[in-house]
Amino acid sequence: MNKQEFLDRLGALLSCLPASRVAESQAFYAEAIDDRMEEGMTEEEAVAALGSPGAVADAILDEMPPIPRAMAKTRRRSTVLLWALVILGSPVWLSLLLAFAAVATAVYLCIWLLAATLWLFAAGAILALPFALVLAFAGLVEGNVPFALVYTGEGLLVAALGILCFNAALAASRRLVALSQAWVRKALSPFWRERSRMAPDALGAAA
Amino acid sequence: MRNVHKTTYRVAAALAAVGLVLMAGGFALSGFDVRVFSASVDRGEVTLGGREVEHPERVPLLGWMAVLGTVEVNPPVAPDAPDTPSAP
Repeated sequence: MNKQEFLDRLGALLSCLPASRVAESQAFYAEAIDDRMEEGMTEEEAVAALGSPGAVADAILDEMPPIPRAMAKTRRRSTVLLWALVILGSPVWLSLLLAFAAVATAVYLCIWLLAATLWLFAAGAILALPFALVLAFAGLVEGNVPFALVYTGEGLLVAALGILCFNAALAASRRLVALSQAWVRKALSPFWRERSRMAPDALGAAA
Repeated sequence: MRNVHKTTYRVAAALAAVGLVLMAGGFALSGFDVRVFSASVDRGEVTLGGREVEHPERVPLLGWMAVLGTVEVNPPVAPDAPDTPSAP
């Protein structure tokens, strides 16, 4: 099998994917074949080293997230079958999708409510200082000096706690940003996955 | 950033230390009376450190707090009794 036959066969097996994805895969394997030929292999040897087009196509599909992978493999058998399953199964998958979205959103909100709680606590502790100073001033006006001293001290102590809480809330918020991003990636993982490099596992699996 | 954190920790520590010293001093000056830590506003009566404030409205902001603590009750007004019918 020569290079063009390999790429044509690969394109036919990946016809269930978007055209851009198919073109991307074909370009990747064309470059892989060219690299092997530059190392001294003949065209047929370079194509044989990649494995069969079927194995390469399966490896590319296996890289995909579960939901798009199932849809692509079903579409490869029959597009009509895919649409029939989508329509007939809609009461099930639609309600499951809504429930999944509700749970994912609730967890995301809980993460940020935790951060908001920390900030509110810090703000409340810092704002307690002027309130305590008002009471201390009132005590001083009334001639109750011990009370004024105690409440000034309490206000300063609570403000100190508020400053420490502010630092803790800032550090926690940074970690919660990372946690929420990780949660969003996790929630989307059955449907979408980031691709940093073009099919490295497929090349390794095919070889 | 580390310097900012160190500075905030030092400020917090200084505030806490001064606060504790003032609290201890006020407690000692009061004759170790635990009521010095209390303050309450109840139906217009303001009590600071166990002592009732006689005219809270004269103290800035304290009068406003005293008003906040007052609950106004408006009892319903009874209707007038009907006139008794005259004898035939």
